[in-house]
Amino acid sequence: MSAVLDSPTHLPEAPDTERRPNAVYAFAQTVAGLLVPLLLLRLVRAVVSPRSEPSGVAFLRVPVIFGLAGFWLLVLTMNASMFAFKGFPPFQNPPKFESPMHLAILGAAYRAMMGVIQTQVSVLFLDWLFFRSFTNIPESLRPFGQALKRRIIFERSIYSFIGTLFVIGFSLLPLASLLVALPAVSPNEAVLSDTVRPARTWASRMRRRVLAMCAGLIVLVALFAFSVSFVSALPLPAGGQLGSLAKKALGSTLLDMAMPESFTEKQPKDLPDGEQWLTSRELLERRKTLEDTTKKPNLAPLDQQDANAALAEIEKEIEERKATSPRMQVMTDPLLSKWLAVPIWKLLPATFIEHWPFVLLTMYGTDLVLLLLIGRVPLAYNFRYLWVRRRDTALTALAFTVVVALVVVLLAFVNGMYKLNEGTGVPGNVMVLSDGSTDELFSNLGYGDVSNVERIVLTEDEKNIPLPRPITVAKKPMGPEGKPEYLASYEAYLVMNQPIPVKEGEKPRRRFLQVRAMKSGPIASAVHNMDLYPGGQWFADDGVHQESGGKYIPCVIGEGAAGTLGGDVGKSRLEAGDTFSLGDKEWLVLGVMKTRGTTYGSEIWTSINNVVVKAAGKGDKYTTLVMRLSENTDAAGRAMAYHIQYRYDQAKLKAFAEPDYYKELTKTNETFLTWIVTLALVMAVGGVFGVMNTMFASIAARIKEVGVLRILGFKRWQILISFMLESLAIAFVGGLVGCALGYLANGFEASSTLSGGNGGGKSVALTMSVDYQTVAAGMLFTLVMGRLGGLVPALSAMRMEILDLLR
Amino acid sequence: MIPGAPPEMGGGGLDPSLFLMSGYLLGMLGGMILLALGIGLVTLPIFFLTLFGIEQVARVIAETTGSFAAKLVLIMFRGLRRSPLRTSLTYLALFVLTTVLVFLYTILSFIGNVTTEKESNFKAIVTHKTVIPSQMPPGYYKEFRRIVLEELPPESRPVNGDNDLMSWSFVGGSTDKINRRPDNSMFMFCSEPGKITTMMDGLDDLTGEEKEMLDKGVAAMKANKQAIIVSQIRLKKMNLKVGQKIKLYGLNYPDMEFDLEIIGTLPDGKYDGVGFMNKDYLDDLLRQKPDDYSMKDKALNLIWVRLPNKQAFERLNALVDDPKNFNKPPIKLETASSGIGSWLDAYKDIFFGMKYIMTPAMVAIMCLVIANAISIGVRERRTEMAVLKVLGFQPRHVLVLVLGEAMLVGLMAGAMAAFLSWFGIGNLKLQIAFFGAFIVPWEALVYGPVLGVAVSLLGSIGPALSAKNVKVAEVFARVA
Repeated sequence: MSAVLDSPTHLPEAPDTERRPNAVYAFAQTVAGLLVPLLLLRLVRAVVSPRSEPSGVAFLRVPVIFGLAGFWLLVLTMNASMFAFKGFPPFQNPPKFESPMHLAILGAAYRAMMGVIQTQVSVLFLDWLFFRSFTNIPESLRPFGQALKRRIIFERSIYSFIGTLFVIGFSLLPLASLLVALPAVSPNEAVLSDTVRPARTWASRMRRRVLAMCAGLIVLVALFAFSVSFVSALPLPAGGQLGSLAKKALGSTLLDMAMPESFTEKQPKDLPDGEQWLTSRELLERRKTLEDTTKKPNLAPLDQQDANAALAEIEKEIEERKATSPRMQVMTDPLLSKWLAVPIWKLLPATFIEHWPFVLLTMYGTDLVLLLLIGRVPLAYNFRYLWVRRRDTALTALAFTVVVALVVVLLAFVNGMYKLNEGTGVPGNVMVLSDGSTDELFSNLGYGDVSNVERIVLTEDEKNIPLPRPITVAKKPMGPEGKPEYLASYEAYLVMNQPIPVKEGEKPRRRFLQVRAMKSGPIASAVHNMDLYPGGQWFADDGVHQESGGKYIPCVIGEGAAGTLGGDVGKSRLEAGDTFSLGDKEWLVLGVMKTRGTTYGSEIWTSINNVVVKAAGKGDKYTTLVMRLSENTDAAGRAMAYHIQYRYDQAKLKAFAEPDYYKELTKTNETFLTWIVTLALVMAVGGVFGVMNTMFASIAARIKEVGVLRILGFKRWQILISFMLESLAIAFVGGLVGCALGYLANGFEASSTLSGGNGGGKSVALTMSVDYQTVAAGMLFTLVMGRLGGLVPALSAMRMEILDLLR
Repeated sequence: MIPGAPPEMGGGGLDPSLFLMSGYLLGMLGGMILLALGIGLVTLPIFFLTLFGIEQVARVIAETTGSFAAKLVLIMFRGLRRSPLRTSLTYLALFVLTTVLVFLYTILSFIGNVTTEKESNFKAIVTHKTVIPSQMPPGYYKEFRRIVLEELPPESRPVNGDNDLMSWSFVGGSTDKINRRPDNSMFMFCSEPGKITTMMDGLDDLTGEEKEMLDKGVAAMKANKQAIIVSQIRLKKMNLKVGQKIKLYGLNYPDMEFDLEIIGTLPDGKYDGVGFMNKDYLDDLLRQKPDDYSMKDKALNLIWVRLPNKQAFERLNALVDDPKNFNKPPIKLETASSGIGSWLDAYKDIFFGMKYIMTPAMVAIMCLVIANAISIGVRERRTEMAVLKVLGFQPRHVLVLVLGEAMLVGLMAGAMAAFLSWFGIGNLKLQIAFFGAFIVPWEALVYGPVLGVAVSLLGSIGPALSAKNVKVAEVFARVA
């Protein structure tokens, strides 16, 4: 639905909520609409279902019941019609019943159905409470009684479904914690012992509930504490996709949860023309940026003045906002903001954030070991049964195998992308772009802008603390004479369009190729630590291939590009001596670069003295300057980048420590990761329901055996654990095979893109990587599915009485 | 020092992070349960009500006609009601998995559609011959228009003349001069306003209110050069509203400031994340810049032309390729589908994975889920199957009974998933290349139920055959 100004100048914007149900309005509206008939029904209970039979009211029953039922149906019909014809609440955008007609009718039917469902869902509890009060329906009202019975059965099944879901959810807790906490749900249920003295009063039941919850939480925290400490002691490397995933999932703040921005921060309606309204978060971010800007020593006086004025204005606006916005008050409070306004992941143990699959696996493992140590569990019986029902076991395990294998393959893909981010970039390299550019592709560096940068001598770090020794751009003897030259690589990065050779009759296709034109190949090689495969050689600085009389443009290519271009001529990859066509010229491959694990794999490197590069408008300017520093460390890179960006005053430049630049290009990775996790969760549904079905059936077939086990002295919790272990064993075997199958994807080459979300982006050739993190995530995933599917059937076995079991 | 805070936050003493972690994980668990609850509450009542409705119809038919088929259907329904929990779980699993398959189909069919040439709407794109992003002198548009409208043979010229030509300039700008970030930046297609509703895919076939509103917006853009239309999602991200006047500081046009007025929004799901601006305003600003302004000769990014057929394309291609027409820089003409295909080349392995790995794997999981559920049901009901045979039911009837139960659940799950995806969700917000939203195609309404039935058939054929072959004597011997 679009919206435009009514006149050429003004019309209200269409709300983005249109066509979508508004849950709050719907709830309020349906409750209001249905409470009235329910209350009326309550008032006439004495007529419909009298406790004793007073004379003179029997004749009223039928008309009252039919009147009320009619009224209830009327409300339902009205609700359905309202949704169908007026759209979703708050009914501001009624639907249009115009062509195509069938769509309009379908839409109306859908909305009517939603209206009825919302009505039913929102009053379900009240409804149930009310109908329960009908204890003695007279024989004359048998149809009414039957209707009531059906309705109560229906509603009970809904409550049972809700309860089941909660139990399924809590199966993710460690079993020890769950067993201890179980009296919180049913205080009269014996779990750790065979019997328990019934709690007869509300107070004693409540006391048991609270104690059980506290005990469960303590066990949970203790298990977490052990797992976090254990994993912290393991020599696990930092980084990778799982840490990023945890940071993304736990990226919101407690303040966001308590006071969501969309609810608490509303743009004022009387905002003056031309003024943009900022949320509290945006105001504070802007203040931070302006503070950084005003501290820039290399800022032009006029810009400094502008920045100071803008900062003063923002400070004023923040003060004004504090008076009206509780969010702003919390965010500017020095104590509260440190707890409430920081991402949640910063408040949690760092080991958990970086290695959560290991922490959770350790926790589950410890939990099981503890329980097995404490008491005997009929494991042999369980595993023998799995073998007896091996066909069902295999079928269920197969579902786990497929799901886990797919998850491992998908994670391996994203892992390959993260490894590119982490593998590209040398710690002591600094990357310089033009000011304001967010990507190499959009950078424009003139000769004059960067001609003196390589001569910088850095004596202070970012905090103006003197360095132990000055940092400079490194020098290395180059050329036949061994003359020392700065390791500063001047580069022009461009993306070119290449027609793909197609067979007769096929439609023409094109692809994009990334070209990096260098001032000097050998210097670029030294700066980027880039070697060629044996038999290769670097192109000459003048860009001329003397041996062919200038017929070919000489270049070296990355492994990904070699594979892609090789496919055009029926080779697995191009090698030194092969040629290809690009920009209406023939190019000669002088060598293939060892680019595995870097983003340079899909690039073609050539001299900047090249007709094709000049025709593309890049020959007279660079996009990037990459310098190797005298100290090859992250700290040196960051200090130099800061100096160039904030202190260097001969030109406006943007600089990054090279690894930081590539680590920023993770926007696409995060998007893919989010989708993969969503998909994995959906696929998990299959595995979970599969194992649940199997376990339910398996337990149903062994009811008597469970009774025998109880008679033999096995306690309730031991029965629970034995059946949980059975489902976990299926999940474990299925998951293990899935991980093994997924491991086959390790080393596969695939193409994708990397982007920092600021425009631009790079096509990359990546190597799929199944590492210890991926396998741990796969195994955790399978065990979680096993637990989710196994607990409800195991609980059902545990809760039955011995006599019922044997009957 | 903050008491109780972690050391890195300036605190000391008790570290509460483990409690927080436990609390957060429990909270997350609660959220997941509520989500599952939501899905169940929305779909399960409809599922059971529909089953109930069909059962009542079958009952009426069975009672009035005495039809054996209707009686068989009634037994099927009784089988489904026998274990509502198992039926619900199977239905939910199939429903969720089919929904994902519908989304995968939506993406793949959309990509397939945009990379397929259409004879009825044959569009071609003119861009720089080799360099991405394509940047051409603005004068190229005038020259290209002359060639198309005058040099091409009359039968090869666009049917609607100048209305079938459109120029594009990409303009990026930030509302914050100093801190230019994605969330305060806007990316716009700068073009002739009149062409927005005639040349843009997805906007040229609008109907009803959407068309009316967009037409009004286009008229407003023609009347006011500084007027822009922006996608709803972008406005929301930037905290902007229709009617607001804004200043954008050029990202790809250095030292250029755009004073703009937001006069409307694009239809939901169409060109999400971008806006449309009047080309005349950009031309005015460029004219004010000195001759050596870096973007003066690079302000035209691409040209679109709608041609009557492939032959017209070949003829025009020859003219465009001729160096005497365009040589500094050289340009190329390609079909729109080929142009889009080039951009999507980087994603080809991802699409391959979606099509040939994920889709079959999902189908396999669906088959396994249904196979599991049905095989358990069959094993539990062997006595019932034997009794049916004793009562005169043929083995094929037992086969149909089991297959029917599975297919009913599959049909309902597939139909529900497809309907809710198509009508309830409508479009899938996902950024792939420059596509921000994928509209669920109506075909999903057909494929969803068909898929549900097909996987149910595949998954239940094994258990159904086993039920068919139940030996009455064996079953009763065991019972005895």
